[in-house]
Amino acid sequence: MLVTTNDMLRKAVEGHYAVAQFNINNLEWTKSILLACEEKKAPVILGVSMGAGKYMTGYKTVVAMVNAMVDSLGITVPVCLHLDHGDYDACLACIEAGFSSVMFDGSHLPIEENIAKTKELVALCHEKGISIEAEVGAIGGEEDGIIGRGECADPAQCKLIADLGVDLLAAGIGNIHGIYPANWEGLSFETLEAVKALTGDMPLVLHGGSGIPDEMVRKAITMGVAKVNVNTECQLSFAAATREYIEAGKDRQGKGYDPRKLLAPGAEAIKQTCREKIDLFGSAGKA
Amino acid sequence: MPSRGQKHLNPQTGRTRRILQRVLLFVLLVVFCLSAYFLWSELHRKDASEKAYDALSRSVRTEHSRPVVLPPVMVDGETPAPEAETPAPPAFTMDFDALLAENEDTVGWLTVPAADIDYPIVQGETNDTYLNDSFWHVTDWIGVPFVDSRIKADFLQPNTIIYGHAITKGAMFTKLTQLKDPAVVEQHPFIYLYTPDGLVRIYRIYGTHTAEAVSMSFWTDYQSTADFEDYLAHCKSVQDYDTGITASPSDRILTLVTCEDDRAYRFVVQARLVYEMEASEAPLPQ
Repeated sequence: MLVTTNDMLRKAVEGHYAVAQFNINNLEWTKSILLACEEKKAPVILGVSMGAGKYMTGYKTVVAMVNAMVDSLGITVPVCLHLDHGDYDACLACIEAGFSSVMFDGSHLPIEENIAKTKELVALCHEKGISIEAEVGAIGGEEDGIIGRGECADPAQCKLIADLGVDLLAAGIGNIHGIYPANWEGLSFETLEAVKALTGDMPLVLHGGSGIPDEMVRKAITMGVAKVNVNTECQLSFAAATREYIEAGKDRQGKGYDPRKLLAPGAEAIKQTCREKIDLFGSAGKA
Repeated sequence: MPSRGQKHLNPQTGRTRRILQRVLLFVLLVVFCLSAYFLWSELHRKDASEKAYDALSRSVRTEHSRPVVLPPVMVDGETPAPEAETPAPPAFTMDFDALLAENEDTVGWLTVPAADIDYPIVQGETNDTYLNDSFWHVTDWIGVPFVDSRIKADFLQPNTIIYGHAITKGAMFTKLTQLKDPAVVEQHPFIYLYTPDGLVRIYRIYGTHTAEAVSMSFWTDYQSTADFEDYLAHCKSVQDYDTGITASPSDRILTLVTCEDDRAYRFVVQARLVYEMEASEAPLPQ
C-alpha cells in the first residue's frame, strides 16, 4: 500500500538523513528504482512530473502500474507516489487518481495567490489523508517547461507557507533542475539556515539533486533537508549505458534487438545511480 | 591546686564555671540563631528573586492568535468569496514598555531554550553596575544579564557580549554549561534576542569554550575587519567541539559569558546572526 511522506520524513529529520525521491518515466524506471530501494532497504518516494504522467498515458495508469508492481515484486520498503511540481489542476487530478502525496508548485505565482491555493489544497489533501509539498522561490533550470533562474527563497515567506500546514517545504536555495552550468554559484546555505530557523521541524526539500557536489548535499542534509529529488542523473546514466550497448553493436548480435535486452544495461545503470544516491543521502537501512 | 575530683567541692569555683558555661552556651546559641536567620533570609531572598524573574518571563509576553486574512484572488478565472479567517499559529509581542518602566537600563530580552534562559537584559554604566544588582535594583547576587558596557547595545555591532551569573540553583546563566554537550546544541540550536523596537534576532549557536577572566575572548574594540578576524580565529582555536559552522568577519555575533565553578574561568557560548524579523511574526522559541 502506498504511504504518505509524513512518517518517513519525520524519521529522516530526527535521524539527520534524507529520503530520495526518484522520478519515474516509464515501467523500466519504476521497476529499477523499486528493486534498488528494496535491496538497500531504503524508503522511497516515486516522483511523477506532469509531463511524465502524460507520457505514461495518465495518472490513473501510473497509480495502477505502481500499485500492482509493488505487490508483484513483493516490495516491503515504504513507497510514496508523489506528484512532482504539479499545478493546481494536476494536484486535483492526482488526488482523485490515488496518489499518496502531491506537490503544489505555486512558486512562480505572486505570494498571495501561492498562499491561497496552497491553503485550499492543504485542506483537501489532509481530508483525503494525502501529504502535500509546497514551494517558495522558483527552482531554476527546466523541468517539463517550468523554467526559472534558481532564486533564493525569502525565509519569511517560507514561514508563511509552512504555517498553512503543508507537510514538507521546498525552498529555493540556488538549486536548479537539469545540468548545472560551470558558473553556478553553489547553494545558499545562509538562506537554508534562515529558513530552518523559522520553520523548525518542517522537513525541507532539495530539488535538482543531480549535479550538486556531494559535499554540498551532505551539508544541506545536516542543516534540515530531508528529501532530495533526483531525476536527471538517472536519465544520464540510463542514456550512457544504452549508448554503450548500441555503439558496441550489441543490438545487431543475435537477439540483441529484443527490448528486454536492449534496455537492460540502462535499467541496471538506473539501479546503480539509485544505490549511490541512497548511500549519499544516508537512507540505506532506514525502511 | 585542688585536684580534679575536689574541684567541685569548692562551691565558689564550681558555680562560676557553671555560670560561665551557661553564658557561653547562651551566646553561642544566639550566634547560631542569628546565622541561621541570615542564611535562611539569603536563601529565601534568592528564591524570591527567582520567582520574580519567573513571573516576569510570564508577564512580558502577550500571546495572541493572528488570523490569516487573505485578499480575494482570482482562482481559475473567478474571484472567490472573501475567505473566513483562519487562526495561524500563536505569535506574541514583548512588553518593553513595562520592562523599561521597571528598569530604564533595559536593552533587550534574551531567550536561550538550550539553557532555560529567559531574562531581561540591561546595560549599566560600567561592568560592575549590575554585578550584584537584580533587575529591580535590589542588591542580590543573582544579578541580571547585562551587555558589556564597552559595546553599544544596538545589536548592530560585530560582537555583543552579555554576562550572566552562574549560581548553584540553576537560574540565570547556570545551565549555559549544558552546551558543552553538542547534542544539546543540536536539539536547541537557536538564541532569540528581542529588542524594544519590536524586532527579534535569531542567532545560531556555533561554538563554546572556556576562557580565563582576562582573555582575548573579551576583546571588544576592533579597529578593523582584520582585528575582528583575529578575534574570531582566536575563539575558533579554543572551541570545545566542531559544529560545522564558522563565523565570518561580515557576521554579527552574540557572545554569552558566565562564571565556571572556578571563578578564574568563564564559560563562553557564541552564536551568529541568522535572521531578524518582527517579533510578532516570529516563531516561538524552541
